[in-house]
Amino acid sequence: MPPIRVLDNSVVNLIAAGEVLERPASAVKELIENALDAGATRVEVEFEDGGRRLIRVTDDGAGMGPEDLALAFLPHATSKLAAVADLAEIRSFGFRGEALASIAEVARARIVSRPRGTESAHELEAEAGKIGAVKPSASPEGTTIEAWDLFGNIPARRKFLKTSPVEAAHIGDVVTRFALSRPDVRFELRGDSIPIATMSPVEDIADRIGHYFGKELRQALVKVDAQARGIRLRGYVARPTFTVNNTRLQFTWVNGRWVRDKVLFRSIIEAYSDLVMVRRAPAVFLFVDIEPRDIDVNVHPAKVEIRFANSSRVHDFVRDEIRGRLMAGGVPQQFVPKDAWSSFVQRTPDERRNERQQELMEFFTRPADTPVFFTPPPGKSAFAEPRDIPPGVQDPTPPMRPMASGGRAYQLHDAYLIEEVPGGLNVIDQHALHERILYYRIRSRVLAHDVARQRLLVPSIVRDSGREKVIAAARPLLDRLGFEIEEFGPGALAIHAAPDWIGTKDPAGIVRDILMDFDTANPGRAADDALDHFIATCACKAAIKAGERLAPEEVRALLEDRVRIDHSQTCPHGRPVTLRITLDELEKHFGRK
Amino acid sequence: MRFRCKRADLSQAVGVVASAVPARTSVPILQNIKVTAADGELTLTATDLEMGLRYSVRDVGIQKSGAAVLPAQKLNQIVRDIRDDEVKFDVDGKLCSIEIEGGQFKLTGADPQDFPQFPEFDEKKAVRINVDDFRDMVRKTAFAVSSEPSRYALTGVLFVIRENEARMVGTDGKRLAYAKKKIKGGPRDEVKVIVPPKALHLVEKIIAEGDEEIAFEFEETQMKAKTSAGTLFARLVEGSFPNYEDVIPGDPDKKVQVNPGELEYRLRLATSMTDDKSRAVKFQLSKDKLKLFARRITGEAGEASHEVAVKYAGPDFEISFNPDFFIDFLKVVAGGRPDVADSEADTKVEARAEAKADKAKGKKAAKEEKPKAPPPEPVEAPSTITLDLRDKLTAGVIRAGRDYIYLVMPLTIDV
Repeated sequence: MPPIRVLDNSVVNLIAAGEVLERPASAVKELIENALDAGATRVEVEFEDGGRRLIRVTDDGAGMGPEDLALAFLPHATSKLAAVADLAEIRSFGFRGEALASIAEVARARIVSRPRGTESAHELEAEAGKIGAVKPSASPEGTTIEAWDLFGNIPARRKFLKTSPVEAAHIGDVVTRFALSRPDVRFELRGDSIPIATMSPVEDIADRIGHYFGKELRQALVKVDAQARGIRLRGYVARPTFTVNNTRLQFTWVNGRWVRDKVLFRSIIEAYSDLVMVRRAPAVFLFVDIEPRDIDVNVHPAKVEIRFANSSRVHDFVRDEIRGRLMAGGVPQQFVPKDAWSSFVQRTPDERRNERQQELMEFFTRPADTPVFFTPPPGKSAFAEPRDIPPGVQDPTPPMRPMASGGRAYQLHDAYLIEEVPGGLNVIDQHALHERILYYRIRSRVLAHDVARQRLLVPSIVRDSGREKVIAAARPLLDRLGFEIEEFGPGALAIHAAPDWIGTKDPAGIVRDILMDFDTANPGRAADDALDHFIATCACKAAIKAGERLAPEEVRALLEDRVRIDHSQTCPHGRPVTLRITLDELEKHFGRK
Repeated sequence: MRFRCKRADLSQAVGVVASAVPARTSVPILQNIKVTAADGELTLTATDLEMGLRYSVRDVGIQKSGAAVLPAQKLNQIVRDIRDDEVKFDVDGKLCSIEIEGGQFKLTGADPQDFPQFPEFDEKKAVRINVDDFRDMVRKTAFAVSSEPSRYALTGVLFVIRENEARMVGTDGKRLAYAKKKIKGGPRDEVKVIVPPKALHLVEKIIAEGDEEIAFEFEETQMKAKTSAGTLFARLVEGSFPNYEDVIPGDPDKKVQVNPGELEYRLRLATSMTDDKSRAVKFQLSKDKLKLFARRITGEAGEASHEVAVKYAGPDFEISFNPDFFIDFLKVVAGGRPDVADSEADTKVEARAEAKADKAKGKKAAKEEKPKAPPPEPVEAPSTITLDLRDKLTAGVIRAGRDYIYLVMPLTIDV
């Protein structure tokens, strides 16, 4: 066995560098962070050959004098942290003092810097850990850092780098994240001497979002800005009408630092649950600001992971705020506000009738191209704050709203409803719609513990022998749903009462389906998730099916019920409810336009 | 086959049997009516195989006996639309011509050989029940059955006939309606079958003017019923029916006497303020007072509170019910029929033809053409019914007279 030796500093640094610098984009990230920590208002990023040959970041920040410069490449040299106590109050990006040292280990590095307000610039070079001497140089105010031949001395790492376009894309992503989080800073990105992006400073990140991801997303954005109990949440979330097939449009920053955090992702998923289809993801751009002592950023060398001291508080706050904004900005008039009761009693029937007439008048007199659906009529402020949608933004797909004069509706093939609406028509999946209506109705009742249990004359017996464990696990949830259940010998249940919302459906059948489903459901699922899942299952089982013929009154009732739920985009299982065909499309098809 | 008959008689008979014609079927011949002419009598038959109807028209001038199978809907429409008092039918093979003054119709039918056989009624096994008693029991119970096919046994009405007594019970598992009648005679061995409500309604359709009794014949899987003009067969519902006598709770300590009309009126008012799908009305009892309370928290929120004068001497008590269950019953007590969600296929052919006839002739003319079966005897609404309660988990028992009992299971509300 070879003798144990203490590793030489350079080897230690090389190992540490490998942790911090995974690929060229990580170096870019570290360097931009340094620039922003130095108070830059302008950051230029250049790279060649996917960053392998050259990375150069130039800023107009504070800059370093010759003394500071001399220390720049030393490991754990940092201007940002003085003592242990400071670790709890980290407000800057960098603090570990690893970035420049790491770059100096794995590349030929060069810094040129001129402190703000001084006349002289200096430069320093380092290669494979060997630091040269500080020399006078020439440069504008600010700092330029170059890294040549990244990983040139670590062939193993270099081998694992992807092709140059892939690495370039990673660098682009890094710059995008900073550009989105700091709309006040000018960013320029050039690859192989070709300008890729130039971002002038803007007031609002919505403009940068639009620049990067298109007008469509820009128009779907809803602003979020809320603060409670030491957490501030701001940014934008896209309406559920805009989705993509992965989470790449979900950007989260905590105290300005771009992070990928499970707690936040879960909040987002839950906030959008049942508003977007399965396997579709929403777009969000969220900034969480929280007291530095309430998070631990020192979890991962690259700092993309963090830990919240009170993750459930953050989770609930973020989820509820997003959900609230999605609902509020979404569908005024179709949504019963919490204080429906008070607004009901405060207004006389005449007042309410007048309001409705006024709405109708407005509807018909409004020019065709003004956004109708998201501007609550005057006096209806209870439903939503009207002007928190960025100016000029309108919803790309107005929600379905019945014809003011009672649009016609028909059932087709015992499965679909066709409905005449202003500006087009809706094709509605009757099962999906009913399922969704039930889902909301049941959910709100169950969550409010407001379930009426219809007792049964004779208990309904469900036998599921050999699955006592499943039954035992499912019982508390069945109880919350409104089933009153008693064990009836091994593997059998007696249902004494069923929630009234199942209507005429057979309680035993629904319980059987739930038990069946419970088996296959993920046992580790949180109770709330399971409950939600149950409600979705119940709604699905209790809803009318495709193939059921509906009387015209039933069709009407179903469509009227729809206005009581918040959105009708997809059923709880994520299938779409409505296909909207506009008159425009019809007219184009028939050559009238 | 060649015959001549009164249009009104034929129209009525076609109207009756058309209610057994399935609206949708995979066996096309079932959308026809079989017409047989023999011995001065015309016999019309229709079936969906689950049940069937046969109805006769007397005093028909038959020139040549025979049989034809004609499309039900067209036939129904034609005999309703024409104004002549008399029509002439001339059938040659599958081709049928219907002649009236100044015109004719030609219809293509099907081969009578292909039409299902109608089972014969065996008079020797007949059990007889008074027409009014039968109608009354159907009216009092059929509305309460389950519309959920998965609880198959509950989709039918339990029909019990024993010596000197007949009973019918309908339940959907949450409420139960139970009516009984004294009868003369009856079988020595108790008959206990579950009958689809549609079959009971079809029996009512074949009751002709002057009929006093209906004869029933029960077999293991089917029931037959016979009146002076018509015969029905229907497949019975299989399955086990809950023991209706056991579920009637004993020892109620809270007895309420109330006027049914007043209760129905107040319940309706309260019901307007229940939630759409969660229909609960709270019954608050105190001395000689019943307060009904409903609240709506979704949609057009609001609440309703109404008082009904009752006779009650028990302790203060509170219980919730689905008001629809009460209203169904109270409608029956008042002599009406609750709206029953008819099982599919029911009388669709007839309804369509009627609608067309109405358009063609105007309402007045159409009204005269209604089957001339006598209207049900007007029911005298009792001035009081009793509601017996025990506790919040036990069924409320309502009695209207001695022979009509109705059970409603309460709603329990979490809070």
